[in-house]
Amino acid sequence: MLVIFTLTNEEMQTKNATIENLLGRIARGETAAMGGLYDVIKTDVFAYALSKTANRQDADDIMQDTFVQIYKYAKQYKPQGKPMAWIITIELNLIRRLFQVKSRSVSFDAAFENTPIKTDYEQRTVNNIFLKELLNKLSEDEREVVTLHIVSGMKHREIAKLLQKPLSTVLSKYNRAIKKLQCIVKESK
Amino acid sequence: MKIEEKVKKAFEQETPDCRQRVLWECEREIQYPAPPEQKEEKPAKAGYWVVIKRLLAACACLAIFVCGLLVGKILPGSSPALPTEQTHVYLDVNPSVELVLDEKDYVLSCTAVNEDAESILQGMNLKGVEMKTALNAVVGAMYVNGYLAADENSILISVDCADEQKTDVLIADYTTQVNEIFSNSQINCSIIAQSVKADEALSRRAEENGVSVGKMHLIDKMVGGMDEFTEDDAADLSKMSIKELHMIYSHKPEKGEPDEDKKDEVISGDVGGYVTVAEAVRVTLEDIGVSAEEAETKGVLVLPARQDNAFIMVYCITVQVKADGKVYVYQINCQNGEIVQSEALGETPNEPEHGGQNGGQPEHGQPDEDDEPEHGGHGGVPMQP
Repeated sequence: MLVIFTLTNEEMQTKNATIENLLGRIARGETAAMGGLYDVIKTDVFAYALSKTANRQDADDIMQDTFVQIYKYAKQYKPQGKPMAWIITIELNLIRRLFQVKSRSVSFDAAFENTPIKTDYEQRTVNNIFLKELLNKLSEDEREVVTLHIVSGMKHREIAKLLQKPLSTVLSKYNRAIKKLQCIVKESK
Repeated sequence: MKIEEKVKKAFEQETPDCRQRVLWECEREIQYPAPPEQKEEKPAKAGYWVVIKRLLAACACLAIFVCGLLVGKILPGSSPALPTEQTHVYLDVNPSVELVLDEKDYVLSCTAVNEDAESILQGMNLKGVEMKTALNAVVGAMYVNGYLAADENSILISVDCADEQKTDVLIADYTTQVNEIFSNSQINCSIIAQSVKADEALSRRAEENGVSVGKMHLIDKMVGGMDEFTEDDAADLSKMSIKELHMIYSHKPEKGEPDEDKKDEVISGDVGGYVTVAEAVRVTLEDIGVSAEEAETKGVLVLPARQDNAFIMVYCITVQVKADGKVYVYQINCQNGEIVQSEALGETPNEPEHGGQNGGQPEHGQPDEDDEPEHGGHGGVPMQP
């Protein structure tokens, strides 16, 4: 039986409220709120970029560009309780523009070259391998759904609306992805 | 660990830390907005009426333009209002930057006062930008280029505003804003924010000494407000960094009661990279051989002392032992906490035991005429060899 670990509804509502509050402050010209927004959603933005591009450098660039676009267009955001959908839309547009100008033949191994060494080398290496494995073995659609649901905490229905796909498609891709991840974990033990 | 937890943790660990870069890019975006995307134009309908409509539109535009010119010429005082210079803001870290603002606090010009500032302002066009954004950009650039760090955290902000009432508000705003810029970083800025009136004499002195108007004004205040300095020291003080000047100025003895309503100067934050006053006092007491309860600290100053043709910053600490009333004057190196000089005076500060210097005690004014200071000049801290 799958035990889902994502943000609870309450946590998600709090997170969304925080993001909307920060967007409102940025729209009013409070530059300092941009730092706060970065801290709240940096992993969401990076994870989605990496899941789509499969390239560390591109993911870094997309991440920075996304925040700049958020800063530029914060005034256009209308609070509706779903700020992540707006942010991911901005990011998706940037990714599509990137795909238009370059080929996507970079292997995922290249994404982790020259990664800066952090403190706990052993654990970080294991995590890296895990991330590399799971993202190499999942299709782009499966990676996309997994990061939006697990990292950003979006509901499947919201993901379906955002990606303009049927809910059943999103659910089946997610379930297939989780099964692949379970195999990866078993193989690594 | 559950699979979902593993996934989330893996992404969290891989997420790069580019917070400061993102903030800086956001500021640059305001200065260099990307050109709007070109929308695909529908092919124009060919035809007689299209050409006529375009000609009529062009004629209408021309007519409006000519009318506008005529109105501008005919009506008295109808020249378009040019933004007027209202405020000059000088930012000194080591790079020195001068910003000129209009009455609505938008930047009219941004000038590098020294070479370091030229490198950080390179490619940065702040004209027409709101001061809040410009301040973020300039201070952010100083940080990104390594001029601001945990042990080099001093900023001097000098405001010269035509509207004097606005000056106090601007001083408080800019101090708050700079603190906010670094609120989530390892740096706690030490800030001196002051008002200044840049007259010709001040500007000339600043130019002669190779410093900004703001830095020169701070030096003038030190020379005028501290007994330890004279006008001859201005040139030497000009060579000191903002960090060193901040250290001296923030420890200057208060003359009279502090004016709580005075808002034209704000001093905030501790200067990084130096030993604390508490540590310097502890070293002093340890050397004397008394505990904190057995002695009373009479005064602490920070002054420059010449050592091997260079200046070092020293704490001048005066301590009186309660038991026997003996007074000691110590100079402690601000950088490393080492004792530079120590002297035991008599039972009261006016009775030197060894006939040496009076030793930096501002509440007792100038040394007695009969004293023969070892180094000459100020009480305890030589500026001249």
